[in-house]
Amino acid sequence: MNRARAGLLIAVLILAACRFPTDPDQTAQSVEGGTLKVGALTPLEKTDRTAVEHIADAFDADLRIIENDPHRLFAMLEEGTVQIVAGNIPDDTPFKYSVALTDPIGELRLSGDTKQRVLAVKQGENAFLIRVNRALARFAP
Amino acid sequence: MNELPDEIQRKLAKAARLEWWSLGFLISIIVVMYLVMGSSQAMKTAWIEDTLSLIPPALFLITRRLETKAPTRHYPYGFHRVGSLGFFLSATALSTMGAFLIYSSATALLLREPPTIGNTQIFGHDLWLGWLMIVALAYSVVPPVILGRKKLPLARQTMDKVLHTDAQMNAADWKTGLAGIAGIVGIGMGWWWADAAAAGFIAVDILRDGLRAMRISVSELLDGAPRQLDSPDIHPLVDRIGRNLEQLGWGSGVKVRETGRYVRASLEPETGRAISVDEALKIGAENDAWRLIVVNRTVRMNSSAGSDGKDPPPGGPDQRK
Repeated sequence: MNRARAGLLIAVLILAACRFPTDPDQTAQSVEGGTLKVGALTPLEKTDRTAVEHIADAFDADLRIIENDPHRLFAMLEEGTVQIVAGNIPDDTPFKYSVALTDPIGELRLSGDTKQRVLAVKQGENAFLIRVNRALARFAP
Repeated sequence: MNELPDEIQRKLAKAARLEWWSLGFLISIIVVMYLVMGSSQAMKTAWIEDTLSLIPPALFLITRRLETKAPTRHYPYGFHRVGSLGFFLSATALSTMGAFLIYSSATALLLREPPTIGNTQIFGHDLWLGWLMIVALAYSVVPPVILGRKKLPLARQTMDKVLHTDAQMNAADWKTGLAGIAGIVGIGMGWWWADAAAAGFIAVDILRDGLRAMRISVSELLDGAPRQLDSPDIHPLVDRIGRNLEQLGWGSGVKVRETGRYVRASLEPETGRAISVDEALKIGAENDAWRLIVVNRTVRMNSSAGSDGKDPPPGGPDQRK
């Protein structure tokens, strides 16, 4: 009985490990072959634009860019109506406690300091975050 | 002041060795966890707990060093009660850990903060950081299981409450480590609440152990009757001593209290005051005579006094051991 239970547990873990990690809100699945919606805080500069284009490519998805003000965009990110927020975001953005940040995509000059430029995705969407980071790594110069 | 039998001394020396091992392993665990912690709240919590677990082993080693010091003019009873203080502090550390764990998992659940765990590059491979965290947590589980199991019997035999609390702390460590692994596996499956929930269940257990230890240690600091190692019930030793001393018929109540691992019995009236203010004045107290309520004198019991048990020894009725 105990052995059967342990076996079952191991089987479940192995099955789970195959698609590890997954998204609580299935962001990666919903973007795959569909549309990647990117919220732009400013008209996207070259670095940000190339990065999101690469990500859309990796997901085989169409790219749609939605410009709006910061708070509305971060609320949309939380709701899942956009999957990425981009546009001159430094890695020490004050929003970093409520969003997840990708690996750096370049540099950014901000009030005399050089900072890492990143993109924001929804917190806890780990599968999506990892695939975004891998796409960025693949296209890195 | 080394009034311990050889056997107990040996066990304490063994316990001290275990505590040095504990400190070494804990520091290595703290370093490993710090390296893989990233921005995960669950890992941060586990890391803070591991840091808190340094307190009991350190207190044990300090206590043991101080406890055997000879009495001085400022500390005429010696330093036995360092053990009581160490016990209180380590019980506080255990309770803090439980309370902190409940707080952090409750806020994670209430604020609905899905934990983000990204990927990392290691030796040129791209890896989900969750796997590294699981490896680190698995490492953090092994030493406390082994050390805790070895400490428990030693704590019982030497009546060492700091060591006992430390063994409970080790149990808390490996349980939270397992809960952390379950939590990260849960996060991997997309259940964002998994690790907060797992930690919450265990936190209740830890807080209960901590509060019980605190209750016992407070009773010790308040000159309460000696308690059992793991429950606030009075230790059977109290009744045994009481019965035997009362048979001597010295006409006073037997009071037993605990100073560190030691026990002191004294025969005193039921009320606090054993000598009147007048008597205290004679002894040499002045305006502050009211403060002197008991004068104790240690008696040595020779074999005959123990057996016939009727004649108070010439020294007087009070006995301290």
